[in-house]
Amino acid sequence: MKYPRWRILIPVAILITILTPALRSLPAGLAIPDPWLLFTLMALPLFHGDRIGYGVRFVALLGMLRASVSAASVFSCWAGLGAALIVRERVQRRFTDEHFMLRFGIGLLSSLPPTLLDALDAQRLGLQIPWNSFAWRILWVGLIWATLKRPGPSHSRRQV
Amino acid sequence: MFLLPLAERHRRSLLLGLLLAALILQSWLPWKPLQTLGNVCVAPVAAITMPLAGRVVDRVDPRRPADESGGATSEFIEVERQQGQPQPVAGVAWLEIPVFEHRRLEHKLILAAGANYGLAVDMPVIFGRTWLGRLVEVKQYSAVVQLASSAAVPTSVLLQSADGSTPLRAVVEGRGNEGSPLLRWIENRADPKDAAPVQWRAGADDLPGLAQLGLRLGLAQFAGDVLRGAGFWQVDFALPAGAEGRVFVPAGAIAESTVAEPQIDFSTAHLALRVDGVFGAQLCGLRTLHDGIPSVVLNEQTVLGKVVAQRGNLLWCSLLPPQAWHNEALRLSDLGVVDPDPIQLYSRGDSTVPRGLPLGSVDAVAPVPGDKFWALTRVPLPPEGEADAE
Repeated sequence: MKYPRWRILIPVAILITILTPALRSLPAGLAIPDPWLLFTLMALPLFHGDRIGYGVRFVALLGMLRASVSAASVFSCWAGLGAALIVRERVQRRFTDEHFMLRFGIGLLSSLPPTLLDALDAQRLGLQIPWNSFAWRILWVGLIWATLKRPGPSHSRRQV
Repeated sequence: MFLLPLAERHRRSLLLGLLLAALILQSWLPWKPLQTLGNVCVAPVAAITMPLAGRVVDRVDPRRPADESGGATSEFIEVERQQGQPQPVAGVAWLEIPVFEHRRLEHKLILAAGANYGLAVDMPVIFGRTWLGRLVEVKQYSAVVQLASSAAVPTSVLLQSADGSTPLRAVVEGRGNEGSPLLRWIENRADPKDAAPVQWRAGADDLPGLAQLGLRLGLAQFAGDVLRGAGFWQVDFALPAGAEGRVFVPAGAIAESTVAEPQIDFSTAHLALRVDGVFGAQLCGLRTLHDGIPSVVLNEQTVLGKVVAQRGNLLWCSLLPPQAWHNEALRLSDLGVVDPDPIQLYSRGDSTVPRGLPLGSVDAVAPVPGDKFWALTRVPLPPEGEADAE
């Protein structure tokens, strides 16, 4: 299983961190899916119990960067990204990724924990973010995940 | 320790699960010391990423505040002062004392001045023509007012009699959160008049001139069912809106000044990031120039918003429209004065947010941050242990 190199991950993570506030400032910015979440899901393959430390370090870095341009708590960022990875890990192992709808469902489920934690943070900060913005974020992550996540080669699937 | 690969895998999964559960718990029910530690860790990273992201935002969406934003001067404090100032009494000076905190459930006011300002236990506390209560505790820099509505607090009063004869003497006894204060031990030579003002009665130790002021507690009301023998008299005592901001205490001998101004800590701030990366344009990031814990940010002359998170010198300020302040906002009509057009809102104030800050007109949209700001907060009262006067 190939894991991306840190010298690629870190600059991309920083670039996402710097660009995301600009995306949020756009008219429908609140409904844009969370780029850190998408990056986490896309960059890290399934662990199958191996190289968990790699995933922990990745989530620690991304959570820290996410919290650096937001009032969201760093713990909620870590918990959200970590929970998304674990949900994806637990669900994806049980389903084939051949079907679009299954992949869509996996994307939706993975984006639920971080979005719920964001909604909790927003409530705690006294913000009035419409619930449909959060719903759009979840939907977008599901769609993007289902579209971009290609089924792997048949032999590697058999190993799973 | 050597474990079989499967057991090792389970051990790692278990540890990961525990770590995640701890993180979710901390997100759900934040433990403040850990939260502070997290903020300290994020601060150096934020110091680099926020300005960079801010530059990108400025290029993508170069919004600027409208010229007419701001400009409402805080006449609220002046109106409140006029409303609360009692009539002059010969030989009595009125000390104007700011309220630090209104403890509604305890029916107490915490004042931001104490023995340093000449206050002492048992001094009467007044707002306009309303009797509020007495000082029950005085420290060097703070004092506590027990309101007449506090449980079991007796206040001697005069009631108008139904037959128009001389006023009846009675005692008002507070009931705390149980309801309006009761009228007890009413002189029985005549019935009290319903809906007539209940007037405070001076005691032997009170300054003689106070009795002439005709201070009131509210209106006498008969409640309950007489036919069932459950009728009783009560007073509709209510704290005037202005008394949450300042109260007046009569003094025979006074210090240099009769007005104790509330202590407010100011620091300048600059815009670092106009949009939050997760919550969008409802938050903006600012950088202050000195270490402190501000509670609110002022944009020119109106409030930009409340400080909702702080990471070192970096603040996150919520940008909500004035009407989103709900119960924390007041208008001039709350003080009994006609509102201007458009209606302006002002901060109610509490132990951290200063009172009377202009929030903007009631129909205004969320403020747009400019370039320079004031981050401010009320100076907290000194710790309890400091030189008690009594």
